[in-house]
This record gives sequence, structure tokens and C-alpha cells, in this order.
Amino acid sequence: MAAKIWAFLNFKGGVGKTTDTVNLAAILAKHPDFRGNRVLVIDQDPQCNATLWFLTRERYHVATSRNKSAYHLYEAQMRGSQVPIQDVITPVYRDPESGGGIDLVGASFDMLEQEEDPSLGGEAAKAATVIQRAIEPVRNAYDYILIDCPPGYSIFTRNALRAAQHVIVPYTADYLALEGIKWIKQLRDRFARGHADPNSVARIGGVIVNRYRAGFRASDAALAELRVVLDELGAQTGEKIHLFRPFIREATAVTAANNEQRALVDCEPTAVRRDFIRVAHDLVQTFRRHV
Amino acid sequence: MSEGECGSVLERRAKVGPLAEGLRKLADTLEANQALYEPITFEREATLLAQRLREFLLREPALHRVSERMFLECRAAWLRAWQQAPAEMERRCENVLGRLPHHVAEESEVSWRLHLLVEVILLMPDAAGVLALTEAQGVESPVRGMGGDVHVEDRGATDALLLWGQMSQEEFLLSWGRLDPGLLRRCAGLVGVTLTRPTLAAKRKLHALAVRLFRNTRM
Repeated sequence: MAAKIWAFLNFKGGVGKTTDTVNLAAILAKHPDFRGNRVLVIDQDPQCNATLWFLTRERYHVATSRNKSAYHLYEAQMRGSQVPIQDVITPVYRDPESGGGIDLVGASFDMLEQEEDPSLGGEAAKAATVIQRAIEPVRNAYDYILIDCPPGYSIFTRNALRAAQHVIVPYTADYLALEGIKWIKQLRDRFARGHADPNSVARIGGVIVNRYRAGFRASDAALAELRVVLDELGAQTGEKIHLFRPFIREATAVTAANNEQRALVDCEPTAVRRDFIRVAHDLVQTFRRHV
Repeated sequence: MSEGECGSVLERRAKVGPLAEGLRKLADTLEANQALYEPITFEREATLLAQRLREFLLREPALHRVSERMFLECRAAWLRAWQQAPAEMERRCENVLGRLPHHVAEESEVSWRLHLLVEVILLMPDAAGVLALTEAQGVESPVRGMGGDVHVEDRGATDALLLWGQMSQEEFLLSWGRLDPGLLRRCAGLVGVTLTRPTLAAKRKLHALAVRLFRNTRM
């Protein structure tokens, strides 16, 4: 079966896009409830946070020196050619017993330069399909493809929107993150209008609430606002936008794990680890029937 | 303060006695049930509960309709319902109350449930109402957050807040007297405010949050 492809996107920075991407990838590949899944993570953020998280700084330099990053997919496009995605994949985890694992198409700081040329020296429409075309041949080799997006509407975000089936929106309970969700809808629709088949652009699949603080008045008010906005967006598109449960609580365990480049699923059991696992279940269930 | 108003306050205060007494009876019953509750836990819970009920009595005119007999009947129906289907009761209560339990002083399960009891009695001041609660149909499923927290999608309260958010403060304050206290409480809970007293400051705060909700959710 072809992989489910999710892009983690919010135009607001610091809402947990990378944290959600890497932890959910690790859970889908390693946790006993999901063991055996083959997961491909594609880092589309030139800040390379997901790449550094998976590879650490030393391995990042090795990978980029061997041309193993998304930069080379885009560079090939600029030259009018195409690089097979297998050439830029770095394996980061394998479970020989289950057959599951995590592969990475890392980002590179060099992508910052490519960001300045949205058409990559050619047609803008074609430049937005680099990732989509690259993953097509390997889509059956994975169960899930997770794309970590930058916090902006760059060529990399547009590639993610073309490649993914659904946008998963990481959100923290504040007004600016809510504005980020509204912008995703507007820009996604604008982008889709430019295509013969608007369905070829990812739809907003749902929202993951991060760093939730129970009993904090501002959180409650912001969540009430989020529900109103999701209802409105759902009414506009005719599709319900899912609010994934549970809300992922604010916890130092997340920061501690990030600092050690460890997935929460590899750490000792904590409440926030449980939140992530339950969200992974909700994600899988929600999109189970989507081909 | 007019003579009538003064009489009304005195009348309300007079009601505190029997109800508090009813609460003490509840305390005795629960304390006797050592298998379920530690006495020290219970004492703290009962004190908190009595204190909270007293506060409600002073501010909730609807409580005048709650006699001690009603209170005890409610309590009996309530405990029966919890015994028979605790998970279902928990869900129903959360739906009806439409708010988080974080306003509870002590977050232990005992405290939470007892406080819910008081609040549900305030909303449905008769045993039939409490029983009806257990049989309520068509209530949206609550959404569990973390720990014991619950997030309820309360469309009615959201719509009310969006409407108030389009009013000027003066219009909102003028309409206050006509607003359903239950709806006000649900709305306040939705935006994280505990309406302990309908003071001018509380009304203004609720209006400000309604304006914010309306403004922030405009597409």
C-alpha cells in the first residue's frame, strides 16, 4: 500500500513542527503498537532542525558532503535533470526483526540560497513538484512519509503541499499560531487555484495542540478560538478538520529529549510520551481509510 | 440597599444553615465509608465543599428553590448513579458542566466529584433532574485532554460569546440581567473564567474575552 504523506506546517515558528515530526516518526517506527512501519522523514526547512535532530552535527556534515540532502533534488531541477531520491536518503534507524525503520531526506543550510529563486530557474509550477516527483517511485516502500516544513510560504512549503495528502498543523495555544492556521488555508487555496486539479494540493487534515497547559486561562480561551476557526474552515471546505487528541502537554521531558536528540519513545515513560503515542494512534486512525 | 434587598440577603443567609447541615450529613455518610475515603481526605473535602456551597448560596438566587430534602434526594440519586455507572456519570457531568475541573481547589478525584455534585445540583435542583442527567441523550462526547481535564465543544456557549463579542460593553452590561445564569457560567468556563460573583469587573472581563474571541476568529 502506498505511504500516507503528511506535511507538518504552520506559518508561525516555534509551535512544535519539528518536535511533532521527529517524535511521531519515531513512534510509528519503534513503538510496539506500530512496530514494523517504514517511515521516511523529509526535512524541508533550511534551518535543518529535523536533520540535526536525527543525524547530529557531525553526521549532518558527512551527509551533506556526500550530497545526501534535499538541496540536491532542487539543484538537479535547476540543472534541468532529476536525482533519484534513493541517492539522497540517509538511513537513521533499522529494526531487523520487524523490518521497520526511519529514513531521512535531510535539509541543508544551502537551501537558504534556493529559497531566493522560487522557480528554481525554470517553470514555477514544475519547481513546486520536485519532492512529489522524487517520492513517487518509493511511495510503496514506505508506510508513512512525514514532511517537516519551514515556517513560511517558500518553494519548499509549496513542494510539501504538492507532495503531501494532508497538512497536519502543529499549534500552540496562542493568537499568532491561530493566525498561522488561517494563513495556511488561504495560501493553500490560492496555490490550489493555480492547478488544473486542486485536489493535487494537500488538504488541511488536522491540528495537533502542543505545549498545552491545563487550567491556564489563556490556553482555554485560545482553544475556544481554535475550535471556532476550525469549524469555520471545515464549513468552507466541506471537510471536518480534525483536532487530534489528546492535547500534548507542556513538559520539560520534551525539551530534555530534544537536547539529547532522543525521541520520547526511547525515553522512560512519562505523561507527555503517552500523549504523543495517543496522538499517533489518532493520526493513524483518522487517515486509515485515506488512500 | 433597599429594605427588600436587605431582606432578600438575610433570607439567603438563613438558607445556609440547613443546606450546610445537609452537607455535613453527606460528610458523615462518606466518612463512614472508610473503604473508599481516608478520613483526613474526607474532612478536607467536606470543608471545601461546605465552603463552596456557602459561596454559591450567597450568589445564586436559584438556590432558594433547593430545600434540604431536595438536596439529600439529589445526593442519594447522585451516589446511586455514580455507583451504577461511574464512567458514564463522569462523562455526563462533564458535558453538562461544560468546563474544566481545574477550578477545584484540590485536584484529587474525590474533591472533583464532590464539587461536580454541588454544581450539578445547582443546575438541576431536584432528584429527577439528576436522574435525567444519567439518561440524557444526544450530548456531545467530551474530549479528554490531559489528566482529568475535559474539553467540551459547547456550540451554544460559543455562539453566545461570538454574539456578545459584537456588542459594545454598554449593550452587554444592559443585557446581563436577561441572560441565563447557566449559559453565563458555561461561557465563562469556555474561556477559562470562573464567575464567582457577577461583579462589574467580572462582567467586563467576560465581555472583553467575548470581544477577543470574535476578533481573533474572524476569517
